[in-house]
Amino acid sequence: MNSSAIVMLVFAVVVLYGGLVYYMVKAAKGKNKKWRRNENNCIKKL
Amino acid sequence: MVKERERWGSRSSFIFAAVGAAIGLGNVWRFPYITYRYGGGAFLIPYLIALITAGIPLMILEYSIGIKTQGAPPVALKKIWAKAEWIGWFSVVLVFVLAAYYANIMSWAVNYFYHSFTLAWGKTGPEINNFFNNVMLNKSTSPGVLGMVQWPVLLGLAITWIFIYLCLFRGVRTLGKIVYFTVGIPWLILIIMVIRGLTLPGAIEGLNYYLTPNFSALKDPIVWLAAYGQIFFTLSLAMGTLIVYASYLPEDSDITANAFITSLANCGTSFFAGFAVFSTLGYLAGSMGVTVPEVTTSGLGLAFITYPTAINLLPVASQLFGALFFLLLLTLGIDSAFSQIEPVVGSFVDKWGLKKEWILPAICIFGFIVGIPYTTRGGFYWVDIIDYFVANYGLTIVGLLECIVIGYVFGASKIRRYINSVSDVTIGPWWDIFIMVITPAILGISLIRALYKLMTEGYGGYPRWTAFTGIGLIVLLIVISFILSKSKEVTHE
Repeated sequence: MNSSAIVMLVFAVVVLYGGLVYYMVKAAKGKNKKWRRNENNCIKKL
Repeated sequence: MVKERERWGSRSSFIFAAVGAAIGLGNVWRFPYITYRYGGGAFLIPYLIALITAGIPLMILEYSIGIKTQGAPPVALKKIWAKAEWIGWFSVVLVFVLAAYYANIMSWAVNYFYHSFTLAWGKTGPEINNFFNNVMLNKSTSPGVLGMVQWPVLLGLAITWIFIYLCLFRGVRTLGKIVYFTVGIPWLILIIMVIRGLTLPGAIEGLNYYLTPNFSALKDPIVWLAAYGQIFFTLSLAMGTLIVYASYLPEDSDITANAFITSLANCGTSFFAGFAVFSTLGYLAGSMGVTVPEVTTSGLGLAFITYPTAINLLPVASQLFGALFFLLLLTLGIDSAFSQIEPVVGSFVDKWGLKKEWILPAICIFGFIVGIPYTTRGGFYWVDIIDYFVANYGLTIVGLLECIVIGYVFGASKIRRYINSVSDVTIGPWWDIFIMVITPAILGISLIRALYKLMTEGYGGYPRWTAFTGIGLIVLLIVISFILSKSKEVTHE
C-alpha cells in the first residue's frame, strides 16, 4: 500500500475503533451498569 | 388496566440490536464504493465530520425521544408535541414500505445462497450477468411491464418473512439474544473474508484504490452531501427503529454513550467491509487483466454479479466462500429487516393496545402480500424506484421534521438537560446547534437538490410517469399518516 493510503488507514482506525473502545470503557464504568445487576429496574408499570 | 412494557434483557442486548439495525447490506455494497468514488481515503474526512455533526446528534435525539416517552414513534412524538403524531406515523408507514422491498432483496440473497453450493450462476462475467438478469429475475423491458411472478423469488420472499416473524414473535427479550448471532455471525464472516481477500494476489492494488486520498475532491460540495447522505441512511435514522428500540429501555438509561457506541460500531463495520470488497476487486481485476476501476461497482451489481465473478476465480473453496458471502448478506440483512417491522408492530400495540400475538403475524402476512409485485419480472425496477423515493424524500422529510419539532417546538436545550441527567457522557450546547441548524440545513439542501434533479433529469432513465408515481406514493403515505394520527388512542390507566 502506498504511504498516503496507510496514513488514512491509521487515521480511520484511531478515530473509529479508538472512539469505540473509549466509549465502551466509559459505558462499562458508568452508572448505568446497575441495570444489568438488577433486572427488576427494567420493569416499569404503565 | 396495568400493562408492563417489554424490556431488553441487558444493555448489551439493546446495543447489539441497534447496531444490527444500522448494519445492513449498504455497509458492504455502498460505503466502500462511495469512499472510492468520492476521493478515496480523503472521503473519510467529510464522512467522520458528518458522523459527528449529524449522525451521532440525530441518534442521540432519537434515543432520547424513545427513552423519555417510552413509546413507539407516533405515541412518542405525540407526547413531545400533540400535532406531531402524524410524523411518527409517517416514519412507520415509510419503514413498512421499505421493509416490503428490502425483504425482496433478501429473497434474492436467499436464492443466491442456495445456488452458491453449485455455483449455478455460471463461470464468466457475461454468464453471471445473464443469470441474474435473465434467469433469476427474468427482467422485463421496463417498469410498466410487470409480467409473471418469479416463483423462486416468491419462495425466497416467503422464507424471509417467516424468519422475520420467528425473530420477533417471542418479544424483545428473546430478540435481545437473537441479535448476538445476527450481529456476531456477519462480523465473523467479514473477518474471514478480509483475511481471505488480503491473501489474494492483487489485493494491495485494490486497497490502494480504496484508501489513497484525493484531497482535491473535498472542494466539491457533492462529496460532502454524499458523506452526509451516507451517514444518514447507514445509521437507520428516521425509520422509527431507534425510537422504538430505545423505548424498551428504562427511563434512566444512558443515551449518549449508547449512541456513540452504536454509531462507531456501524461505521467501523463499513470501513472494515471495504477491505473485504476492495481486496477481492483487486484480485478480480488482476485475474481479468483489467484495472480496478473497470470492475468496481456498487449495490446489486457488486453483490450479485461482480462478487460471484470473483468467487468463481478463487483458487480454492469457491463454493465455501460463495456460501459465506451470501450468508453474510443474509445475516446482515435479517436484523435490519426485523428492525423495520418492530416500529410498525410497536406503534399498533402502543396506540390501540392491540395484542402483539395477533398484530405481528398480520403485519408479516400483509408485508409479504405487498412484496409480491416486486417478485414479478418488472419488480426489479420498482425496488430501485421505490427505494429512491423512500430514502431521498420520505426519510429525509422525517429527519428534517424531527429536528424542527425537537429543536424549535420542544426545545433542544430542554431535551439536552434530560439527556445529560441520565447519561454518563454529557453533551454541550454544540448539540443544540447541530440539531437546530446544521442537520436540518443539510437535510433541506439534500431534499431540494434531489427534487431539482428529479424535475430536470428524472430518475434512473425510467419513464417520466414513474417519478409521478414515486412522489404520489410519498403524498399518499403522508395522507395515511394523518388519518392514522386522527384515530382515537387506547390509553392504559
